[in-house]
Amino acid sequence: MKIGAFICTSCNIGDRLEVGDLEAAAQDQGAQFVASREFLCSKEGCQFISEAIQNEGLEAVAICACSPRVNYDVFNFGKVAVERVNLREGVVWSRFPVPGEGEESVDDSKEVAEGVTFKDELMSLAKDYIRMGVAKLQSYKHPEPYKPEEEISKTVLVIGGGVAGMTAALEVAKAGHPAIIVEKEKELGGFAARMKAQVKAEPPFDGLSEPVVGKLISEVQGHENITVHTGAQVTSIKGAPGLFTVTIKKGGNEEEVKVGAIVVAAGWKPYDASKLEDLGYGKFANVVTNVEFEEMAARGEIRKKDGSPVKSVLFVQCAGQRDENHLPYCSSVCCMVSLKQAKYLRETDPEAKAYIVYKDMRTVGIYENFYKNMQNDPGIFLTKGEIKEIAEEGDRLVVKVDQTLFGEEVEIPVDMVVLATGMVPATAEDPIIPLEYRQGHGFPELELFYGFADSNYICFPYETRRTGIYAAGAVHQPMTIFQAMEDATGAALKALQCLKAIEMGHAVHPRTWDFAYPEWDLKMCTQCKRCTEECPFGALDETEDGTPMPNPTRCRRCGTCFGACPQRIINFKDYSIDMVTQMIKACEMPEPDYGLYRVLALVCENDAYPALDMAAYRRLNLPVAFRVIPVRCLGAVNVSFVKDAMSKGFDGVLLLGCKFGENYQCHFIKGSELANRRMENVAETLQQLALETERVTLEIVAIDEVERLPQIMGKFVEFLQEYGESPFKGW
Amino acid sequence: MARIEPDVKTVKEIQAAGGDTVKKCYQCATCASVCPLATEEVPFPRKQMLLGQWGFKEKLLSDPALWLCHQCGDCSVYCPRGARPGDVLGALRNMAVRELSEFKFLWTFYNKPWGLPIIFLIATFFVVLSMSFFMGGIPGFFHWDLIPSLNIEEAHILFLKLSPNVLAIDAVFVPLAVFVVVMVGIGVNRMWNGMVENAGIPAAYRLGFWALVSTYLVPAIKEILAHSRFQECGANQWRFNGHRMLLWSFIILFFVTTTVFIAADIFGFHTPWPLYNPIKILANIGAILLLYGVISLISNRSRAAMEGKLTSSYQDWFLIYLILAVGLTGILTEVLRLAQVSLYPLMYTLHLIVVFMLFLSIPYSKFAHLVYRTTAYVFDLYSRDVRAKMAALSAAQATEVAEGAPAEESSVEAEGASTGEEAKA
Repeated sequence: MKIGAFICTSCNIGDRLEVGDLEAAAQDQGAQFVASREFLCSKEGCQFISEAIQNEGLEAVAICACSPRVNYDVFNFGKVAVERVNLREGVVWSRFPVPGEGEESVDDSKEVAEGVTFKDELMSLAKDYIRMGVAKLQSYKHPEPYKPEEEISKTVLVIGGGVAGMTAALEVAKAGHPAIIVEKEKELGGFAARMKAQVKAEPPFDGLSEPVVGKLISEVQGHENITVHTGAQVTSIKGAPGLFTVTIKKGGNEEEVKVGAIVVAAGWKPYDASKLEDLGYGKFANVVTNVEFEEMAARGEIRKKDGSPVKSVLFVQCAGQRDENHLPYCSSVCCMVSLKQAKYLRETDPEAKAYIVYKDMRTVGIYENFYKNMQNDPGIFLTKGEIKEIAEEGDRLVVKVDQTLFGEEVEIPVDMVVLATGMVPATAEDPIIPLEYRQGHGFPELELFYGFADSNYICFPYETRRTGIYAAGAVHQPMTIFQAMEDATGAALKALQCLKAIEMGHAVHPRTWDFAYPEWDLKMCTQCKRCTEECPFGALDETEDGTPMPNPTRCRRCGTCFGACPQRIINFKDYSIDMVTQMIKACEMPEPDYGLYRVLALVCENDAYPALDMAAYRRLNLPVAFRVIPVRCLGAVNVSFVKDAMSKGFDGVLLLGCKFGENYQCHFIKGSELANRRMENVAETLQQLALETERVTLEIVAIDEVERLPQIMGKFVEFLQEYGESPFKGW
Repeated sequence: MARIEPDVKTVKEIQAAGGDTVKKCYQCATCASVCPLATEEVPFPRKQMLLGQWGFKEKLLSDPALWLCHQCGDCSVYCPRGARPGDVLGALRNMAVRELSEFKFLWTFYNKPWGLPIIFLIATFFVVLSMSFFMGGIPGFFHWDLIPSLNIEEAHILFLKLSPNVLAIDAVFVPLAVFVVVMVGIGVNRMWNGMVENAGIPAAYRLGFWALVSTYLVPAIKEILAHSRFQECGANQWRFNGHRMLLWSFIILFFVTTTVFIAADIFGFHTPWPLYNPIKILANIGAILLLYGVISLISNRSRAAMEGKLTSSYQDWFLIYLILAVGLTGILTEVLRLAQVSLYPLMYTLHLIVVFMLFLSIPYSKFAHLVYRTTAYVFDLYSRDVRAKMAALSAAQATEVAEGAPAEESSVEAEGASTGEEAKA
């Protein structure tokens, strides 16, 4: 490969670095063409590069200028591979000499070790980066889009025919794709079809309206792109996004269909109120749940069990909710439901009284308007409180409430008590998606979200751990009809986006536009199954003997498999074991007893690497000892990198990645967690080399924890000083 | 409170009485935090808003906090929900006046716009009847010799020598004063008993009427004269000066009227007195202060209403304009008399009619705050003392218990004290 290196002299690069020496370093490493110029990102600069590519026949260029996170659109030369050597953020804007005691100001000529100036260290860092950039290009291969042999299906399967499911199907259909709805009940509509009224789903969001579900049903039934299967169930899902084969069982018949993506809108079930005996359910006839009350209202029969009219109702909010013994979470709609049902009562009888005893009144978002409106009703009485006891007295119930706003315990006699029970997601007990994946049916680890098909992707609300399968509505999170419709629209668009990505042959998410994918050199595979077990997205199936069977359309390109493989047989075209090894080798190690250290930092490019750039924009001072290599995810760090670095003579290795465990921030969910687990293997490797295990450390950093970076990195260098230089220096 | 069963009607009543925003409150307690007058022991108006939302009228109407509020409007300005606690408390005060009063139809006349002509007719009836009776009509306007035998130069009752015009006034205003005093007495008595019950003051700490008056009324009145609490008010600071002027003018006019009453009725110094008479000078100063006070209140209230700091109800404007009418007719009567315009007796009659209306309004209109707020001040000072004493007692007891000494002596009192505290908590 013919490689050119272009060094930008602007943005302080030319001021602090000796550009001539940098050019020489690039040449030494094997760049066939080397040039330096100011403002490479300018029109003239880009034209200069383009001309050089043309004239010299360059196949790859190392742009030694700013961070790869900026100007990526400027330095785009079509088929020519581009490597960005980060001299600006990575060197001149973030590495500064520190004034010693009594020194007021200090410049790069400051002596930092015997016979070594800061400038020397800075230059050695810049030269290492340039050599690493050229080395990377030397083992770079151009990725080609993945095109499955089978035809890609453009159909979207929607599991669940409630408000969310129908909305998703309609959105898909309106975008011109076929949609299939599978509903297990006999009728479309879900729970919403059994409701008397719903809280308004349009401005000003302050009252009630007819359930929108009727309109949706007729729209769905009238749409030519939508196929509806009621009284049906999905019994098997095989394949991968774009290529799913789904079995639908209806009555005694089974039918196989091809679909591209799936929206799970299986909804919710009410919490089992028989567990709420302490609130009088099952004990007293006139203690009912909010679901039962809704059905009574829909029938137009708000009456006591003996048929007499109801003049007063007390609504108990959070009945079996936000309670470790029942549902530990807030179902987010019950406050609005109780306000709505209070309105039903008030509309039937203007003298009737509705009491609402709440823990906290939670009417999410714009529905504060509804709360305000209902609050104004003279017959709705609200107080914070805890239910102490519910007892029967004659034909009435007496509710003892403590911790009220009145500052004392009160007793309220009422005709009926309504328990605001919560939502249990359909996925809590049933996988809903019977995937024929090596990692099993259903979404993994939903216990993190109380069984909801949710994810902790703070920036990507629709993503699940099964590519091409998106959750919407109350199975996703507890939500209102209005929210469910928005959610379903989002999920439907995500499903279509997935189909488009597969058609284009690049990753779906979050590395959209990444055409590279992992490839296995199966000749060397030992069937250890690490890759198939550890893939966070269940992308790999297995043959009977345990050989991995990749499904590139399920893959998110995190490289967790690449990090896991002890045989180092998994590689991306543009990111390979050999590439990183060559980059590590390209660094120049000082002679033994040099007095200063060299540390390799393997940095997650999702959050930690941007944080490093931000530190540079704030001109925070990072230790000059670090050589940073960005990685797809900490999960994509192979133990061999550490081995290579230590044998090269690095004094330590720092892994910087995202938070793992509960409330994880890892963009690939499991990557940083696995990297942390692999530290045991790392320790073993270090022991083999007779090195202290502490020389390799993993640190967690969030994207906004920029201020912590100088501390983390500074401390690590101080820590290494205690152990002294690596004995591998000079080998 | 224990068992509660609110009534939708009562809530509607509060809403209709000017507390239309009461249900908007969501109990964040911003109001009680910003209120310059609420204290830790007597916080308001958050709790009063809650009681209003639940329609607990009884509890509200015997709550001194209702009257400790000067409606400065800070709470309404800072309320994030537009619940206007200040205005709600104003409406609740109107309701309290009604509940505390006897002959509630009079309250209705005073508090509904349609009642205005009725009160005017009542006042006119009594004043004109009395004048016809003793003076044969209104001089220079009409002559109606109702009872010729009474059309006399001077009546002799016991040792008093009363002229017909004095007789005509006394015949109306002395019974009116007695009526008002009795009505106010009934109201204050009801209010006091309610407050003592509501606050759960133990029997051991209850004081007799004279003990209360002698211990707490004087400091309360001192506070009122200085307007020290009113001055704390933030958002509606402007009202402070006008209101104080008005209060002082009432005191001056009360003093002048009493003096004239004694001088004329008992010693026979008939009015009108010359302008250089010190009492006359004082009376004119009082009249000017009254006009100044009431006009400044009118202009500032209008401005505040425009700025949304407070809303003014019919009851607010009724009282202000009635006071303005009293001031204007009084001054005009004097001016017309000095200018020897023959219409002045008619103006004087009008003056007497509006004074009658104002007088009778004391137990029934917003004017009642004169007595009820004073009562609340007295109660506030008294209950502070009671709380301090009870706290001291329980502290003393705690030390005694800690020292292991028998606490039998104070056990009865302590029991009372602890129940009192529980009730308050």
